[in-house]
Amino acid sequence: MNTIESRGPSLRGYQWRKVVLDLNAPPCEIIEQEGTSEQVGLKEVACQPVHPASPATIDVEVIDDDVTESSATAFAEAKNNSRRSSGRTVVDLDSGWLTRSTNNNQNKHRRPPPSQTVINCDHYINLESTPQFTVKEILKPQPPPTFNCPICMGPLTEEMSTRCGHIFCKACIKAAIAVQRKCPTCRKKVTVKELFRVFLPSAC
Amino acid sequence: MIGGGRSSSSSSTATAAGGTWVSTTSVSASGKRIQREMSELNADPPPHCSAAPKGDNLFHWVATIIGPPGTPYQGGIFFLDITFPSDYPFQPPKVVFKTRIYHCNVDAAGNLSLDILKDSWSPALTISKVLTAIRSIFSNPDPYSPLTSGVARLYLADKAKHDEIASEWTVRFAK
Repeated sequence: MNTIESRGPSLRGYQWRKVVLDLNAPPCEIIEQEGTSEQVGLKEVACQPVHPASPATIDVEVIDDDVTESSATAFAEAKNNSRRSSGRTVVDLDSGWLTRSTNNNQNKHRRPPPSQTVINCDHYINLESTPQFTVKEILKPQPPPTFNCPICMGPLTEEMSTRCGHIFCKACIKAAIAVQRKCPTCRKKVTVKELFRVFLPSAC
Repeated sequence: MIGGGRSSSSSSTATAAGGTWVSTTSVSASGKRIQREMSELNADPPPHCSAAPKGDNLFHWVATIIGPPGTPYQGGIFFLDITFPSDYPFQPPKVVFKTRIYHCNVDAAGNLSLDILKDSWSPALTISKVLTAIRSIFSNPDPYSPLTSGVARLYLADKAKHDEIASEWTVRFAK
């Protein structure tokens, strides 16, 4: 409750000033409002008494609408969704982006983008349930990168990096060092002790 | 691909099996790698080169290289035998010329001196890269580490004469 009370007055003062001085910049206001924390739902509570009292302008209405749409339940649901399904892909219809939900999740925690937060909540698309959706067209330009081990030429298993930065399967590079203490890719000196485990972003 | 290879494949399989197959696990790993190389070669072969298993044995291939234009080997088709060791790719493949060639880095038996097939071998190298390297010594022989010193000496002393003999051999053996 403390946070709400302390934010309430400052927000009110801020908006009042904004309304008077600048009527033409609604996106900026939304950024600053939503960017302050994740608690959009709580803020809604704080905001609603403000608007009837303040002089009615177009800007304030816009803010009001936006905030109401991402209500506490919807936001929590969306957050849950993105957390629960690590393998689920999120499509942002507005920008046409296709991102891994994990990345998206991180972004949201740091700073929710101004208008996308609302849209993302409404348009979580589960690829498994709607395979006929035109996601494939969006996917085409950027297929997820897959990396193969240069030694076995197959997909990397337990990928390890050499000191010189070249990545191989654990078993492959160990066998290669046993024969020749050189990096297979660049021929720099390598020892088994200098190998370290790396984790590449997985394709699926 | 190579018609002649079929008839002799059974005997070559027997020798390979007797001599080099050590453990079944390593064979399957190198077999997989060779298979992947094969599909990669089919999808994107290096220019003027081809390579494929001789018969049923995945560890015994035949390759061809077409003599690069602008060299005395121009237009010749050179056949090579490639034998993969059981611990491929940790050991280099053995590559032998089956077509006679007048070249200072290839001896009369068809053995060739190429650093990447000996000490400079790396498991990240592939047959495709080996063939590209062999094709490059067609254009740029290395007379300072020769297998046939007579050819190397002639190459350094009288390149015109060397090229004349080399193109004669190409017409005689490689066409």
